[in-house]
Amino acid sequence: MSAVRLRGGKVAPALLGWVVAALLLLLWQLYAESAQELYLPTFTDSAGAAWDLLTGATLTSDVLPSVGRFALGYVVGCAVGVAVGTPLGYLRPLEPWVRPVLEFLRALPATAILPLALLVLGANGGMRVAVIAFGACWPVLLNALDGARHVDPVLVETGRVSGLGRFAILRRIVLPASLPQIFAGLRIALGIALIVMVLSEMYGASSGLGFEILNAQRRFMVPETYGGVLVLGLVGWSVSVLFTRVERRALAWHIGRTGGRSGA
Amino acid sequence: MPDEIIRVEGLRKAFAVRDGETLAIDDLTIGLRQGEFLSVVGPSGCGKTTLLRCIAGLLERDGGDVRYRGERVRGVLPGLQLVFQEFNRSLFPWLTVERNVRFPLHGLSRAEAAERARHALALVHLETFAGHYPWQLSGGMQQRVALARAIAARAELVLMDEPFASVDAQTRIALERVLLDVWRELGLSILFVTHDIEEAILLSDRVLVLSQRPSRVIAELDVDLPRPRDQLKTKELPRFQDLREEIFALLGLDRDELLATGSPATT
Repeated sequence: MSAVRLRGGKVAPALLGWVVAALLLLLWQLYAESAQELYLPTFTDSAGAAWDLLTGATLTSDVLPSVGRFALGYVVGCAVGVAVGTPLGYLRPLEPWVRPVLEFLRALPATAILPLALLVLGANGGMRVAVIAFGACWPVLLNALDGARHVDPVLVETGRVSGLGRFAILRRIVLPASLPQIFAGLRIALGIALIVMVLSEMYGASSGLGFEILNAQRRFMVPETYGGVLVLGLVGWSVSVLFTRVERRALAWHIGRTGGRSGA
Repeated sequence: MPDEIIRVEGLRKAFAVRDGETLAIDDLTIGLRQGEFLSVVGPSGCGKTTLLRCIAGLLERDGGDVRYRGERVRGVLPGLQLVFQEFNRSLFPWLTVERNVRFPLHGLSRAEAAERARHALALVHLETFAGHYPWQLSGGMQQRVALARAIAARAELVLMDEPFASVDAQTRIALERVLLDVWRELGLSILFVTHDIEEAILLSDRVLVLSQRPSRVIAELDVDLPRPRDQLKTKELPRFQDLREEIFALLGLDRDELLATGSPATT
């Protein structure tokens, strides 16, 4: 503790966050131990349950399949979002035709179509992937659309005089120029995809992280319920860290140019 | 004329405004000879940029013909590169300098494209900056990258839209020298739009003077000054001064009422 200096010292700011996190966990542990409340297990009991979830048979039956569906749904949704949004933004005359439909579908919470998807597609992994993809695609699509619409016309003209066709301009100019905004959409989609994943596994499911959390809660396995939430948090956090790395690489030019300010 | 690379005949361009339309260019005729350096000067807001975009085929024309080596062209002119005033907008910020220069070279082998880019960058003295990103360079250097891209593309025809208008005076002098060197070495045909009368005379074989909107050619002056041109010596020649005065008078810059009546908004 004495090594952490509040002023000066480059380690301090990064370390501080961890210290605060550790303090909060300690507080949780101490309070839970003294309060002995039924619905508040200690941190160590919850972490133990999380560990069991991550190391037991549930790893291959629940955790990994969940993460797999999440990843697949996310990637499919984002791919659709970019593939549809970018051309729509570039081919301006098309956009007014579809804008109201897009805005409506975007405003629809993906979780709300879960019961519908259950009816139409059935209670299976494919349905869950589809709903995750549906939720993930909208912020990406609309951001790609806006990004592509606001590409500097001088860049497009440079492509035209260089003899590029429409598709080549889309791929070589409009898409990279829209990337900063597309990435903003990808980040929003990440959070949505995780929410939809959890919830989709609470409907007509017999496995998955969402199912395990709900199941533990119904059976009053309180530490296991907390453990499931902890694992979920860990998954979300890891994915976010990974995303930031990819983003830094893909947008190195943008970050360098704008000095790290976000936005296109 | 047979040796003309570009012939613009009776060009007309109007823009829609709230109450009808405004005529930007009316019945404008220009011929650019092979290997010629032709400048276009005109009052602010006379539609010089519109003119270049119409010739390039980036804007639709409302009337008139553009012929490339005698053939009518619809759409974008072949063998053309543009150098815009806004250098920071025409370079791709996600590509390195070298990749920017190679951009128009699709269809070439990797080695060939790299060699051409290297050569073009050497011509504008930027070979050591190939790996930088455009936004890491100064404005003058970015403009040289744009020029290198035109060179690498083996453009026969370069349309330049006030390319040196937003760099400082010293950089501008250096860029003008580089441009003249490259033009002579590669035998380019250049159509150069500028509002700077001295720049137009210093660089060009011929200067066209445009009228206020709607733009028409009101005078065509042969710049019969010896080459190579020099920033100091050429500008001191009596003939240079004469041409300068003549263009001044044509643009009405010698009259007092110019400021009193106010000049139209710049483009």
